[in-house]
Amino acid sequence: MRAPEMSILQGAAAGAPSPDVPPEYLQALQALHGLLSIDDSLIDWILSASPSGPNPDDQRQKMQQVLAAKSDVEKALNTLVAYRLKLAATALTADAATPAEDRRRHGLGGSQHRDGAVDPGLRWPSSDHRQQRDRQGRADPRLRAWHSKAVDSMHSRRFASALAPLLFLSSGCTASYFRIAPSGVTPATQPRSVTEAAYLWGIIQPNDLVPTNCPDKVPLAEVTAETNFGYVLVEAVTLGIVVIQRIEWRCAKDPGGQDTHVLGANGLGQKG
Amino acid sequence: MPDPYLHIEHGAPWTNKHQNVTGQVASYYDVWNRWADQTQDPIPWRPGMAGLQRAIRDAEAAGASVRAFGGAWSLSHAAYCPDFMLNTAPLGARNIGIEADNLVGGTIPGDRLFFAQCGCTVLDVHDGLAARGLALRTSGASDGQTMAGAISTGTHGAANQVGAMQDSVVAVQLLVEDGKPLWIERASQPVVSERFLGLVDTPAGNLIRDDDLFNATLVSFGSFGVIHAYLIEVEPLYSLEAYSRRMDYDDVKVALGTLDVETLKLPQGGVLPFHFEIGLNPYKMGRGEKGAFVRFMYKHPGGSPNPPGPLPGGHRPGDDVLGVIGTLSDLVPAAIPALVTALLDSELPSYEAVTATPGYTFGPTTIRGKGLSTEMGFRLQDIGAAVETVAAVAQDQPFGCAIGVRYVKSSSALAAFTQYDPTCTIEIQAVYSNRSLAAYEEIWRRLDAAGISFTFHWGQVLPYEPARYRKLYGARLDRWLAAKAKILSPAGRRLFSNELVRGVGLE
Repeated sequence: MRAPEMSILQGAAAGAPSPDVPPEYLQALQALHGLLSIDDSLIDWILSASPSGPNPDDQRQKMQQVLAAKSDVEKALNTLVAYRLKLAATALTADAATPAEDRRRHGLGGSQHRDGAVDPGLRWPSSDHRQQRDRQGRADPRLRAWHSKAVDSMHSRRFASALAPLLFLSSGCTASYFRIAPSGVTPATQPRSVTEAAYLWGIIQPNDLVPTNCPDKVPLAEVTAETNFGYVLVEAVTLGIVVIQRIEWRCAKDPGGQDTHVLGANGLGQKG
Repeated sequence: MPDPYLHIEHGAPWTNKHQNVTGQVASYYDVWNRWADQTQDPIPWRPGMAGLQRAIRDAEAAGASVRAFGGAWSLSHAAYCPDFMLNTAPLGARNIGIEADNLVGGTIPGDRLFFAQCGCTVLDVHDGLAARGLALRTSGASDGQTMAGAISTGTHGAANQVGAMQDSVVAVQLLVEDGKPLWIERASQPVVSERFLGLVDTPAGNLIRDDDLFNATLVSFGSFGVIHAYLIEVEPLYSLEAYSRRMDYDDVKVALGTLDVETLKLPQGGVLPFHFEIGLNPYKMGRGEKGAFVRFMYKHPGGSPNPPGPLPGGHRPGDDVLGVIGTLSDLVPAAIPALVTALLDSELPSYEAVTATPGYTFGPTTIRGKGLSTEMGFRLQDIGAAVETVAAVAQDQPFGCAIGVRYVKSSSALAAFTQYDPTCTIEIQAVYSNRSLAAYEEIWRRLDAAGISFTFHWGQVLPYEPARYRKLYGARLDRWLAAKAKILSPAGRRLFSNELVRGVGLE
């Protein structure tokens, strides 16, 4: 079964959903689960049916027509999902949806995402579902190869359709964001970050971070700790064995020696 | 001289403050006022200046382009190039007040002069000056920019009798090919002595007094070389008594197009306030909709370095909508007018007679979300038609935006976008999206079609159309290019060029 979805669904069914999973996602996953069950039944029927009787070729042709219709429906679904993804991309990372030529014309070219964007061609690993059906080996041998190819294609597309929005959000959507920045301290460097993991419920911790871009005795101006939906999923799926965080920092200005009287100190208010 | 301390990264990521320009940098340098052993120098800017010179030579040796940046506040490509980038934000050395021995001519009293290394932020400068009973004559709405970035892109406020930030500069120290330092002043206003030049590591032979070169260098967005320092004229500390009032657009139309504020019934009647700006909600331009936010400030001598009481919602009188514009969504066009109205209502509160120094009035801006902004300069007689053109585009193809109209005295800088007297600027801050970019293009197209002439702020979104700038700036552009050729060879012009410079035809 599709592990990430099912673990969330099972958690929800047990009345203990992860607090980080929005309710609309649970509803969407439950709807997808229903669709996949219907689809599984259809595949079961096709794989187990053996054309027989006076016109086996007619039956075979009808089965192929059913599969072709399924394929058309899935294509339409994929188009719809791709369109929704595009809309989501516009809303969440408008940069991703801005054509390079537009950016260039307005002096915004050369951009790239700081956070990874989803490849719409993403493929979920091949399911054990197909292998299980293949092992049954009850279908007409002439149909089996065709079925196998069609089912493989359908599953991979369907999983991609189902999971692409989830993974898109996992990679680009911040689940939590904590920032510490003392007032009146001006950052002096570009943000730099590391992504670190702790294991086994904190038994194995990453080493303390030393920001190598800050000179000696230069403090940090701000620190941000950030998780995204993907990290939360990893934590949920591994039951807290793996906990990932992204830490970003910026060095402050040099704390001493910037104010000088080398050139004179005749301020109006006081003599230096 | 010891080696400077440099932190160098290869293939480093870079992003500007508003996150609308990001990219990779082949060689990224953090330059600090420290020597290689991390010690400082009695003359604090010397290691940083040596670091910039070394980085320029590294870029030349690599046959690459080099660009310095500070607060990364520009929304255009002004600060970015993919080859060598030098972070000057750590270079915040400053010297307030210059001894008479270091000056010539006596054209400006030494106690009104301020030496600022390139990385001084406007925040640092406000604080340092206020502690000595001094103040900048003007600044932008936020204080996170470095002086070099703000000045060299022509940043301005709404002080209509002062000009933009570059108009307070009296000398520029520039590092050109091979890191050679130049000290540039106006021939008509000589300032520093040979003794001063020694203290800023500039040979006397590298002093250039040339009005055209000085006026060209002021607004050159990094294309004349790396700016290391400025000498800036400041004035005694003053306070701003600030007001913000909601009015109908119809009620502000006369003042907007003439600067005759009599009809606005301000506290000082027909006296034009020191700072005068009008914010507009383009979706509330009708009678009774209170879509105009009139913000004005009277200037008074003196002031307390203590902060004023907070406004509702923790706002300051000088708050900039750009800080929160990125929180808007324009995904559902039909909802945009309501969202813009809600944002402006919450972020631009009304207030009366809030008095504070410039540093507290125009304080820090925390940016939330990705934003865009474009700003254009108009003649006074065109501003009414221009505002209505912008509002018409917003109503025809709604995009998440707010409009600010300000008035700035004309600048002597050859490439200043505030070249009309006064220059009326329209700033259009918007959500980062294709929809906003398309709206900007439509606004520019309709303004062109209406025969309205306008300039562009170099630090904001602008079109890459060299012919447009040639037509706008005319002979000033020729003088600007000729000035650049006086101090840079063709190779030097490429060394300090980038996509913006090429895009507007100014390499």
